[in-house]
Amino acid sequence: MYLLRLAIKSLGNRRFSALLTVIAIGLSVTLLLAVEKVRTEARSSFASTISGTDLIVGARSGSVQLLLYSVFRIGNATNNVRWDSFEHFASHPRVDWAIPLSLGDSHRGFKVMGTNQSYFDHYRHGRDQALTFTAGAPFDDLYDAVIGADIARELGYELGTELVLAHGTGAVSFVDHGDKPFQVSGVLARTGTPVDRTIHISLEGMQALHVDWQQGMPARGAAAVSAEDARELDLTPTAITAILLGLNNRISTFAVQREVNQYGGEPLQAVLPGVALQELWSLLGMAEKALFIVSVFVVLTGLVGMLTAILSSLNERRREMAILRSVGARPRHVFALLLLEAASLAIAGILLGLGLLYLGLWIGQPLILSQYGLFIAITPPGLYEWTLLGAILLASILMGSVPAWRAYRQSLADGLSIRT
Amino acid sequence: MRPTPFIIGSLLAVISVASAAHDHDEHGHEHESLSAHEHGVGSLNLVVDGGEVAIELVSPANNLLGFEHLPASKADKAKVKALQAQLNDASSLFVFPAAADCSLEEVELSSPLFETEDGHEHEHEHEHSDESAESHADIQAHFHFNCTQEAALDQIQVALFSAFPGTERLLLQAIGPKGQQGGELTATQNLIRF
Ligand SMILES: [Zn+2]
Repeated sequence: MYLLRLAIKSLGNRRFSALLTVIAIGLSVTLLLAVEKVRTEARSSFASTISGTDLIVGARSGSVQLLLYSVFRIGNATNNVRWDSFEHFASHPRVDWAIPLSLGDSHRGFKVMGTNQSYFDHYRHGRDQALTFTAGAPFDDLYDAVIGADIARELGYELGTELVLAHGTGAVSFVDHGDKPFQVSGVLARTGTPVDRTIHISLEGMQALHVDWQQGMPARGAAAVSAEDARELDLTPTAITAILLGLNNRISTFAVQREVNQYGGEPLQAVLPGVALQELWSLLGMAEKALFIVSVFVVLTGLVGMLTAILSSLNERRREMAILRSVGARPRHVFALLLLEAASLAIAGILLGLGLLYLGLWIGQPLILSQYGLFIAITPPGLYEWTLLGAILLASILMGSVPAWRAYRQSLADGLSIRT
Repeated sequence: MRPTPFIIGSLLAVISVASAAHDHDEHGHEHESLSAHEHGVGSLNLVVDGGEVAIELVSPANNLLGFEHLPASKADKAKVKALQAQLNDASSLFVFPAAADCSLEEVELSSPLFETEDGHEHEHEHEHSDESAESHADIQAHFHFNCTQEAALDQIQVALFSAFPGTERLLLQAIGPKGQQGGELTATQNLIRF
């Protein structure tokens, strides 16, 4: 205890360099913990995006690609699913419910998705949580739209707001569907998933938008079908983008999967969302690992900085050591003193790092949520974080033993006096 | 710190990788879409529902037998017979926790190689041999286990790799008590944890 006080007093004498060392360690610890935090939170937020769906069916492509466009609304489908294929599998005896998804249009950067009532009945996220409305109800009229929580907040839309959808999802050369405006009929509660950033319309609404289109261009003049005239037409869709399937019995999952994969009508593919998600993680694992390694190296840099600071102070402190020896300190006390110095620097750095992390989380949480829709829970460090911090402390003590050993040898050689 | 753009960015990068990787096994999709016919690689589907465990193995015959042609010689026929016996005794291929008290209920095997085994239906055999002489042959096996102590069923060890050294990887799709999981099983990573 006495030695510790001595170590801290001695550091106090060199408070400027000590402070810089603590800040360097603190910042590196913040970076490491933040990287880990974002990694784990992003992982759990992705994993909770879809639950309760047994199979996702789409055109044949990669399983990760199918998961990304159907669930995360990232990227685009290479091919469509014909409507009769949807009807075939929706009425399959082993299928409990089927949600059709039709993507392709957008509104001010948000994706528009055509679907039907079963989406609101059966889509689940997190731990089996259903979608709920903060205002309004599912679409009822042909030109009704249900918007996610982010859209309501970011664009300031509410019930009754009129919106014009744009054709396609690209950022350039939009052709819009100005002739058939939609009205907000419902606002969904926040889910923390891509649902918050999606505009939901009925499949018939989606069909009405494109009923007079030819070769990807709107009809002109007499060929155009007005919004009211479209109501009289048969608006059964011809194709959709993907299907989410819930089965009566999960033991039949693989049998239905095989049936989809071997379906004679058109080349289709069924993936288990949980399996595709794991495939996605294994692909992302490399990037995650690289990020982790970089932050570990940043921490090591901080510790090396500490090592340099202590080592370079040793020469100036020969007199200090000699005085310590003269009042009865043994070389091993000098050794311990320097180890304690390294440890206290590291502990101060870790505490500063934790403080900065939580300050950053506290400030950043609402910003990250509003900007990127990623909810980062502020939780106390778990076992994993403590292990990391313990490893940092251990590394700092190991590094501290280098100057400690030198000081030990020096004070053996110098004895009680010092020749300068 | 802007984490999500990074994540999305890597996701988008991954899409191209993933679709490129997929183009590879496109040719194998004609018949058994779960896995391409790639020697050394099989697919394993597994569902745990209460105490009932259903396992489905689809593997190129080569992984299990060392050849894929219809067994003509006496030695080949003996090999096929031995393989059938080995698969029928599936309790040595899948190791359950002892506390779960699992027992093998049923095994169903199917493969063009097994059909000719009995020798009945000669015409049928010939039709097949025309195809199979050139194309690859798969072996499909369904195993059903029943466990009386389902709460103790927290993992299953797949011992197929030591039994069949020709099998390098198994692409796993599993539905456990806590949900779906996927991945790849190998001789060193042969444990499915729930
Ligand atoms: Zn459009």
